[in-house]
Amino acid sequence: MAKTKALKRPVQQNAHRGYRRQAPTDRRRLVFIAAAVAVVAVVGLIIAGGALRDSNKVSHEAPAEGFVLGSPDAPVTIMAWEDFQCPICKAANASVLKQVEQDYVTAGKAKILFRQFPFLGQESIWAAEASQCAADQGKFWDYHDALFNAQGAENSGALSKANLKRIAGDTGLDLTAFNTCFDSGAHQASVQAEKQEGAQLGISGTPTIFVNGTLVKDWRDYASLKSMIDAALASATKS
Amino acid sequence: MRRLPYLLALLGCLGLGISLYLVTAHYGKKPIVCSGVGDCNYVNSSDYASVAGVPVSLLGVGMYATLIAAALLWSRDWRDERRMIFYWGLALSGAGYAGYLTYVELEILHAVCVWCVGSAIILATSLTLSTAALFWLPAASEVTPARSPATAGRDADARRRSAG
Repeated sequence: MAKTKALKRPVQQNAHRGYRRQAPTDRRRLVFIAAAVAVVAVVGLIIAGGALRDSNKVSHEAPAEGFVLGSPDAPVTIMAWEDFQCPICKAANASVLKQVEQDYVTAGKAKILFRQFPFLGQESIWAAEASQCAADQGKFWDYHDALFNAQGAENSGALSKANLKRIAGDTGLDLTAFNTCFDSGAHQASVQAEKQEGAQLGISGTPTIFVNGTLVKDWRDYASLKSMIDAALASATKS
Repeated sequence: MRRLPYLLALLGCLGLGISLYLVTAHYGKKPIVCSGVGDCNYVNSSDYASVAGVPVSLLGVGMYATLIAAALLWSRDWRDERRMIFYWGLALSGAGYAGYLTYVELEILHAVCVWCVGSAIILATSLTLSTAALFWLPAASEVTPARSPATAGRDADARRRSAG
Protein backbone atom coordinates (compact mmCIF):
# COMPACT_ATOMS: atom_id res chain seq x y z
CA MET A 1 0.00 0.00 0.00
CA ALA A 2 2.82 2.33 0.98
CA LYS A 3 4.63 1.50 -2.27
CA THR A 4 1.58 2.41 -4.35
CA LYS A 5 1.24 5.75 -2.56
CA ALA A 6 4.88 6.57 -3.18
CA LEU A 7 4.61 5.78 -6.87
CA LYS A 8 1.60 8.06 -7.28
CA ARG A 9 3.16 11.05 -5.57
CA PRO A 10 5.13 12.51 -8.51
CA VAL A 11 2.03 12.60 -10.66
CA GLN A 12 0.06 14.40 -7.93
CA GLN A 13 2.85 16.90 -7.45
CA ASN A 14 2.87 17.71 -11.12
CA ALA A 15 -0.88 17.92 -11.13
CA HIS A 16 -0.86 21.11 -9.08
CA ARG A 17 1.13 22.72 -11.90
CA GLY A 18 -1.61 21.83 -14.29
CA TYR A 19 0.50 19.64 -16.55
CA ARG A 20 -1.53 16.49 -16.30
CA ARG A 21 -4.81 17.56 -14.89
CA GLN A 22 -6.52 18.17 -18.22
CA ALA A 23 -7.36 15.80 -21.03
CA PRO A 24 -7.41 17.02 -24.66
CA THR A 25 -11.20 17.07 -24.52
CA ASP A 26 -10.95 19.52 -21.61
CA ARG A 27 -9.15 21.98 -23.84
CA ARG A 28 -11.83 21.71 -26.48
CA ARG A 29 -14.51 22.18 -23.84
CA LEU A 30 -12.77 25.21 -22.32
CA VAL A 31 -12.18 26.76 -25.74
CA PHE A 32 -15.83 26.26 -26.60
CA ILE A 33 -16.93 27.87 -23.34
CA ALA A 34 -14.54 30.81 -23.80
CA ALA A 35 -15.70 31.32 -27.39
CA ALA A 36 -19.36 31.16 -26.36
CA VAL A 37 -18.83 33.71 -23.57
CA ALA A 38 -16.93 35.99 -25.97
CA VAL A 39 -19.67 35.79 -28.60
CA VAL A 40 -22.37 36.51 -26.00
CA ALA A 41 -20.38 39.50 -24.69
CA VAL A 42 -19.89 40.97 -28.18
CA VAL A 43 -23.52 40.43 -29.22
CA GLY A 44 -24.66 41.91 -25.90
CA LEU A 45 -22.57 45.04 -26.46
CA ILE A 46 -23.88 45.43 -30.01
CA ILE A 47 -27.50 44.98 -28.89
CA ALA A 48 -27.05 47.36 -25.93
CA GLY A 49 -25.59 50.01 -28.24
CA GLY A 50 -28.40 49.55 -30.77
CA ALA A 51 -31.12 49.75 -28.11
CA LEU A 52 -29.65 52.98 -26.83
CA ARG A 53 -29.59 54.49 -30.31
CA ASP A 54 -33.25 53.56 -30.84
CA SER A 55 -34.25 55.08 -27.51
CA ASN A 56 -32.23 58.22 -28.20
CA LYS A 57 -35.24 60.09 -29.47
CA VAL A 58 -34.61 63.47 -30.95
CA SER A 59 -37.40 65.84 -30.22
CA HIS A 60 -38.16 68.57 -32.64
CA GLU A 61 -40.65 71.30 -33.10
CA ALA A 62 -41.59 73.47 -36.03
CA PRO A 63 -38.61 74.96 -37.89
CA ALA A 64 -37.69 78.49 -36.94
CA GLU A 65 -34.30 79.55 -38.26
CA GLY A 66 -32.03 78.34 -41.01
CA PHE A 67 -31.27 78.77 -44.68
CA VAL A 68 -33.99 77.75 -47.07
CA LEU A 69 -33.46 76.12 -50.45
CA GLY A 70 -36.63 76.33 -52.49
CA SER A 71 -39.89 78.12 -52.00
CA PRO A 72 -40.48 79.22 -48.39
CA ASP A 73 -44.15 78.42 -48.97
CA ALA A 74 -43.53 74.80 -49.93
CA PRO A 75 -45.75 72.55 -47.77
CA VAL A 76 -43.00 70.09 -46.80
CA THR A 77 -39.87 71.08 -44.91
CA ILE A 78 -36.79 68.88 -45.01
CA MET A 79 -34.60 70.11 -42.21
CA ALA A 80 -30.98 69.03 -42.30
CA TRP A 81 -28.58 69.62 -39.39
CA GLU A 82 -25.10 69.55 -40.88
CA ASP A 83 -21.43 70.24 -40.28
CA PHE A 84 -19.24 71.41 -43.16
CA GLN A 85 -16.45 69.07 -42.05
CA CYS A 86 -18.74 66.03 -41.91
CA PRO A 87 -17.99 63.65 -44.78
CA ILE A 88 -21.41 62.02 -44.53
CA CYS A 89 -23.07 65.42 -44.89
CA LYS A 90 -21.09 65.91 -48.08
CA ALA A 91 -22.26 62.51 -49.29
CA ALA A 92 -25.87 63.27 -48.30
CA ASN A 93 -25.80 66.54 -50.22
CA ALA A 94 -24.44 64.82 -53.29
CA SER A 95 -26.94 61.96 -53.13
CA VAL A 96 -30.31 62.01 -51.36
CA LEU A 97 -30.61 65.76 -50.79
CA LYS A 98 -29.69 66.36 -54.43
CA GLN A 99 -32.41 63.91 -55.42
CA VAL A 100 -34.93 65.62 -53.13
CA GLU A 101 -34.00 68.93 -54.73
CA GLN A 102 -34.66 67.55 -58.21
CA ASP A 103 -37.87 65.71 -57.32
CA TYR A 104 -39.55 68.07 -54.86
CA VAL A 105 -37.76 71.38 -54.30
CA THR A 106 -37.72 72.56 -57.91
CA ALA A 107 -41.39 71.63 -58.17
CA GLY A 108 -42.19 73.78 -55.14
CA LYS A 109 -43.44 70.79 -53.16
CA ALA A 110 -40.72 70.88 -50.54
CA LYS A 111 -37.98 73.10 -49.21
CA ILE A 112 -34.65 72.18 -47.66
CA LEU A 113 -33.78 74.00 -44.47
CA PHE A 114 -30.11 73.98 -43.54
CA ARG A 115 -29.22 74.13 -39.84
CA GLN A 116 -25.74 74.49 -38.42
CA PHE A 117 -24.40 71.87 -36.03
CA PRO A 118 -20.63 72.50 -36.10
CA PHE A 119 -19.44 69.83 -33.69
CA LEU A 120 -16.30 68.45 -35.34
CA GLY A 121 -13.83 71.06 -34.14
CA GLN A 122 -12.61 74.57 -34.68
CA GLU A 123 -12.65 74.45 -38.48
CA SER A 124 -16.34 73.45 -38.38
CA ILE A 125 -17.10 76.54 -36.30
CA TRP A 126 -15.09 78.82 -38.60
CA ALA A 127 -16.84 77.33 -41.64
CA ALA A 128 -20.28 77.85 -40.07
CA GLU A 129 -19.48 81.48 -39.26
CA ALA A 130 -18.06 82.04 -42.74
CA SER A 131 -21.20 80.57 -44.33
CA GLN A 132 -23.31 83.06 -42.36
CA CYS A 133 -21.13 85.86 -43.72
CA ALA A 134 -21.74 84.50 -47.24
CA ALA A 135 -25.46 84.45 -46.44
CA ASP A 136 -25.27 88.14 -45.61
CA GLN A 137 -24.37 88.62 -49.28
CA GLY A 138 -27.15 86.28 -50.44
CA LYS A 139 -24.74 83.56 -51.51
CA PHE A 140 -25.17 80.99 -48.77
CA TRP A 141 -25.91 78.04 -51.05
CA ASP A 142 -23.04 78.77 -53.44
CA TYR A 143 -20.67 78.99 -50.49
CA HIS A 144 -22.28 75.90 -48.93
CA ASP A 145 -21.49 73.86 -52.07
CA ALA A 146 -17.97 75.31 -52.29
CA LEU A 147 -17.26 74.39 -48.65
CA PHE A 148 -18.32 70.78 -49.14
CA ASN A 149 -16.21 70.61 -52.30
CA ALA A 150 -13.19 71.91 -50.37
CA GLN A 151 -13.69 69.46 -47.51
CA GLY A 152 -10.61 67.56 -46.34
CA ALA A 153 -9.75 65.55 -43.25
CA GLU A 154 -11.07 67.00 -40.01
CA ASN A 155 -9.23 70.08 -38.76
CA SER A 156 -6.43 69.49 -41.25
CA GLY A 157 -6.42 73.05 -42.56
CA ALA A 158 -8.78 72.42 -45.47
CA LEU A 159 -11.24 74.87 -43.89
CA SER A 160 -8.69 77.13 -42.21
CA LYS A 161 -9.44 80.86 -41.95
CA ALA A 162 -7.20 81.58 -44.94
CA ASN A 163 -8.87 78.88 -47.04
CA LEU A 164 -12.35 80.06 -46.08
CA LYS A 165 -11.42 83.54 -47.35
CA ARG A 166 -9.95 82.08 -50.52
CA ILE A 167 -13.12 80.05 -51.12
CA ALA A 168 -15.16 83.22 -50.55
CA GLY A 169 -13.13 84.92 -53.27
CA ASP A 170 -13.57 81.94 -55.60
CA THR A 171 -17.33 82.00 -54.99
CA GLY A 172 -17.51 85.61 -56.10
CA LEU A 173 -18.23 87.17 -52.74
CA ASP A 174 -17.28 90.75 -51.92
CA LEU A 175 -14.08 89.94 -50.07
CA THR A 176 -13.81 93.20 -48.17
CA ALA A 177 -17.26 92.77 -46.71
CA PHE A 178 -16.71 89.06 -46.15
CA ASN A 179 -13.39 89.57 -44.35
CA THR A 180 -14.84 92.30 -42.16
CA CYS A 181 -17.75 90.05 -41.22
CA PHE A 182 -15.61 86.97 -40.66
CA ASP A 183 -12.72 88.62 -38.79
CA SER A 184 -15.04 90.52 -36.48
CA GLY A 185 -16.78 87.28 -35.46
CA ALA A 186 -20.12 88.84 -36.37
CA HIS A 187 -21.89 85.47 -36.38
CA GLN A 188 -19.98 83.78 -33.58
CA ALA A 189 -22.83 84.07 -31.09
CA SER A 190 -25.56 82.97 -33.51
CA VAL A 191 -23.56 79.89 -34.59
CA GLN A 192 -22.99 78.91 -30.97
CA ALA A 193 -26.66 79.46 -30.19
CA GLU A 194 -27.74 77.29 -33.12
CA LYS A 195 -25.34 74.54 -32.11
CA GLN A 196 -26.66 74.70 -28.56
CA GLU A 197 -30.21 74.55 -29.87
CA GLY A 198 -29.31 71.39 -31.79
CA ALA A 199 -27.71 69.84 -28.72
CA GLN A 200 -30.78 70.63 -26.64
CA LEU A 201 -32.93 68.91 -29.25
CA GLY A 202 -30.83 65.79 -28.72
CA ILE A 203 -28.78 65.98 -31.90
CA SER A 204 -25.44 64.31 -31.42
CA GLY A 205 -24.27 63.73 -34.97
CA THR A 206 -24.69 64.93 -38.51
CA PRO A 207 -26.48 64.82 -40.79
CA THR A 208 -29.70 64.64 -38.81
CA ILE A 209 -32.67 65.03 -41.12
CA PHE A 210 -36.33 65.67 -40.40
CA VAL A 211 -39.36 65.72 -42.69
CA ASN A 212 -41.95 68.12 -41.27
CA GLY A 213 -40.54 67.54 -37.80
CA THR A 214 -40.29 63.76 -38.03
CA LEU A 215 -36.83 62.29 -37.71
CA VAL A 216 -35.68 60.36 -40.78
CA LYS A 217 -34.02 57.28 -39.33
CA ASP A 218 -32.59 55.87 -42.53
CA TRP A 219 -32.03 58.84 -44.77
CA ARG A 220 -29.61 56.87 -46.95
CA ASP A 221 -32.56 54.88 -48.26
CA TYR A 222 -34.09 57.33 -50.72
CA ALA A 223 -37.23 55.22 -51.12
CA SER A 224 -37.87 55.55 -47.38
CA LEU A 225 -37.20 59.30 -47.41
CA LYS A 226 -39.41 59.69 -50.49
CA SER A 227 -42.30 57.87 -48.86
CA MET A 228 -42.02 60.17 -45.83
CA ILE A 229 -42.08 63.25 -48.05
CA ASP A 230 -45.04 61.87 -50.03
CA ALA A 231 -46.93 61.17 -46.81
CA ALA A 232 -46.21 64.70 -45.56
CA LEU A 233 -47.35 66.10 -48.91
CA ALA A 234 -50.57 64.09 -48.79
CA SER A 235 -51.20 65.23 -45.24
CA ALA A 236 -50.57 68.88 -46.19
CA THR A 237 -52.93 68.60 -49.20
CA LYS A 238 -55.74 67.21 -47.02
CA SER A 239 -55.42 69.97 -44.47
CA MET B 1 6.55 30.47 -26.45
CA ARG B 2 7.54 31.42 -22.90
CA ARG B 3 7.86 35.05 -23.98
CA LEU B 4 4.52 35.20 -25.80
CA PRO B 5 2.48 36.32 -22.76
CA TYR B 6 4.94 39.18 -22.21
CA LEU B 7 4.61 40.20 -25.87
CA LEU B 8 0.84 40.13 -25.50
CA ALA B 9 1.06 42.25 -22.34
CA LEU B 10 3.17 44.75 -24.29
CA LEU B 11 0.56 44.86 -27.06
CA GLY B 12 -2.05 45.42 -24.38
CA CYS B 13 -0.06 48.39 -23.05
CA LEU B 14 -0.08 49.94 -26.54
CA GLY B 15 -3.84 49.49 -26.76
CA LEU B 16 -4.28 50.86 -23.25
CA GLY B 17 -2.33 53.97 -24.27
CA ILE B 18 -4.63 54.53 -27.26
CA SER B 19 -7.77 54.03 -25.18
CA LEU B 20 -6.54 56.34 -22.42
CA TYR B 21 -5.81 59.04 -24.99
CA LEU B 22 -9.31 58.75 -26.47
CA VAL B 23 -10.91 58.78 -22.99
CA THR B 24 -8.91 61.89 -22.06
CA ALA B 25 -9.96 63.63 -25.28
CA HIS B 26 -13.59 62.62 -24.70
CA TYR B 27 -13.91 63.86 -21.12
CA GLY B 28 -11.59 66.84 -21.70
CA LYS B 29 -13.78 67.79 -24.71
CA LYS B 30 -10.62 68.23 -26.78
CA PRO B 31 -10.35 67.49 -30.49
CA ILE B 32 -8.60 64.22 -31.26
CA VAL B 33 -5.29 64.57 -33.05
CA CYS B 34 -5.72 62.69 -36.30
CA SER B 35 -2.61 63.89 -38.17
CA GLY B 36 -4.80 64.69 -41.14
CA VAL B 37 -5.69 61.03 -41.57
CA GLY B 38 -9.32 59.97 -41.24
CA ASP B 39 -12.17 61.53 -39.31
CA CYS B 40 -11.44 60.73 -35.68
CA ASN B 41 -13.70 63.38 -34.16
CA TYR B 42 -16.63 62.41 -36.34
CA VAL B 43 -16.29 58.72 -35.50
CA ASN B 44 -15.83 59.36 -31.78
CA SER B 45 -18.83 61.64 -31.52
CA SER B 46 -21.15 59.40 -33.51
CA ASP B 47 -24.01 57.42 -31.98
CA TYR B 48 -21.82 54.33 -32.17
CA ALA B 49 -19.11 55.78 -29.91
CA SER B 50 -20.88 54.89 -26.69
CA VAL B 51 -22.78 51.97 -25.20
CA ALA B 52 -25.46 52.80 -22.63
CA GLY B 53 -23.80 56.15 -22.06
CA VAL B 54 -20.34 54.67 -21.56
CA PRO B 55 -17.78 55.81 -24.15
CA VAL B 56 -16.39 52.90 -26.18
CA SER B 57 -12.90 54.22 -25.39
CA LEU B 58 -13.60 53.66 -21.69
CA LEU B 59 -14.70 50.11 -22.47
CA GLY B 60 -11.37 49.81 -24.29
CA VAL B 61 -9.46 50.85 -21.16
CA GLY B 62 -11.24 48.11 -19.21
CA MET B 63 -10.64 45.55 -21.94
CA TYR B 64 -6.93 46.30 -22.28
CA ALA B 65 -6.37 46.40 -18.51
CA THR B 66 -8.00 42.97 -18.24
CA LEU B 67 -5.99 41.66 -21.20
CA ILE B 68 -2.73 42.86 -19.64
CA ALA B 69 -3.65 41.25 -16.31
CA ALA B 70 -4.60 38.00 -18.08
CA ALA B 71 -1.34 38.00 -20.08
CA LEU B 72 0.75 38.56 -16.94
CA LEU B 73 -1.18 35.81 -15.16
CA TRP B 74 -0.48 33.51 -18.09
CA SER B 75 3.22 34.47 -18.09
CA ARG B 76 3.55 33.05 -14.54
CA ASP B 77 2.80 29.59 -15.91
CA TRP B 78 2.87 29.62 -19.68
CA ARG B 79 1.84 25.96 -19.94
CA ASP B 80 -1.37 26.52 -18.02
CA GLU B 81 -4.17 25.92 -20.49
CA ARG B 82 -6.81 27.62 -18.41
CA ARG B 83 -4.84 30.86 -18.27
CA MET B 84 -4.12 30.70 -21.99
CA ILE B 85 -7.76 30.02 -22.88
CA PHE B 86 -8.93 32.78 -20.52
CA TYR B 87 -6.66 35.22 -22.36
CA TRP B 88 -7.78 33.88 -25.73
CA GLY B 89 -11.47 34.33 -24.81
CA LEU B 90 -10.84 37.94 -23.81
CA ALA B 91 -8.89 38.61 -27.00
CA LEU B 92 -11.68 37.02 -29.03
CA SER B 93 -14.33 39.27 -27.50
CA GLY B 94 -12.13 42.35 -27.89
CA ALA B 95 -11.25 41.57 -31.49
CA GLY B 96 -14.87 40.65 -32.25
CA TYR B 97 -16.19 43.97 -30.99
CA ALA B 98 -13.35 45.87 -32.67
CA GLY B 99 -14.28 44.09 -35.90
CA TYR B 100 -17.89 45.24 -35.50
CA LEU B 101 -16.73 48.82 -34.87
CA THR B 102 -14.52 48.73 -37.95
CA TYR B 103 -17.52 47.53 -39.97
CA VAL B 104 -19.52 50.47 -38.57
CA GLU B 105 -16.76 52.89 -39.58
CA LEU B 106 -16.49 51.55 -43.12
CA GLU B 107 -20.07 50.66 -43.95
CA ILE B 108 -22.27 52.90 -41.82
CA LEU B 109 -20.30 56.02 -40.95
CA HIS B 110 -18.08 55.92 -44.05
CA ALA B 111 -15.37 57.49 -41.93
CA VAL B 112 -12.25 56.09 -40.35
CA CYS B 113 -10.57 56.85 -37.04
CA VAL B 114 -6.89 55.89 -37.20
CA TRP B 115 -6.69 55.38 -33.43
CA CYS B 116 -9.63 52.95 -33.60
CA VAL B 117 -8.04 51.12 -36.52
CA GLY B 118 -4.77 50.91 -34.54
CA SER B 119 -6.64 49.44 -31.59
CA ALA B 120 -8.43 46.94 -33.85
CA ILE B 121 -5.07 45.85 -35.31
CA ILE B 122 -3.64 45.34 -31.80
CA LEU B 123 -6.62 43.21 -30.78
CA ALA B 124 -6.53 41.20 -34.02
CA THR B 125 -2.79 40.56 -33.50
CA SER B 126 -3.40 39.52 -29.88
CA LEU B 127 -6.11 37.13 -31.00
CA THR B 128 -3.96 35.70 -33.80
CA LEU B 129 -0.97 35.09 -31.52
CA SER B 130 -3.04 33.53 -28.76
CA THR B 131 -4.89 31.36 -31.29
CA ALA B 132 -1.52 30.20 -32.60
CA ALA B 133 -0.50 29.35 -29.04
CA LEU B 134 -3.73 27.43 -28.65
CA PHE B 135 -2.83 25.31 -31.67
CA TRP B 136 0.88 24.98 -31.06
CA LEU B 137 1.03 24.53 -27.32
CA PRO B 138 0.62 20.77 -26.82
CA ALA B 139 -2.37 19.62 -24.84
CA ALA B 140 -1.55 19.31 -21.15
CA SER B 141 -1.89 15.54 -21.17
CA GLU B 142 0.69 15.30 -23.96
CA VAL B 143 3.27 17.31 -22.07
CA THR B 144 6.04 15.60 -20.19
CA PRO B 145 6.80 18.04 -17.44
CA ALA B 146 10.36 19.05 -16.71
CA ARG B 147 11.23 17.67 -13.31
CA SER B 148 12.73 19.83 -10.68
CA PRO B 149 15.73 18.32 -8.80
CA ALA B 150 13.52 17.87 -5.74
CA THR B 151 10.90 15.99 -7.72
CA ALA B 152 13.56 13.93 -9.44
CA GLY B 153 14.96 13.01 -6.03
CA ARG B 154 11.57 11.94 -4.76
CA ASP B 155 11.03 9.87 -7.93
CA ALA B 156 14.37 8.14 -7.39
CA ASP B 157 13.41 7.42 -3.76
CA ALA B 158 10.13 5.98 -4.89
CA ARG B 159 11.85 3.78 -7.48
CA ARG B 160 14.35 2.51 -4.87
CA ARG B 161 11.54 1.71 -2.41
CA SER B 162 9.62 -0.03 -5.17
CA ALA B 163 12.66 -2.09 -6.16
CA GLY B 164 13.44 -2.84 -2.55
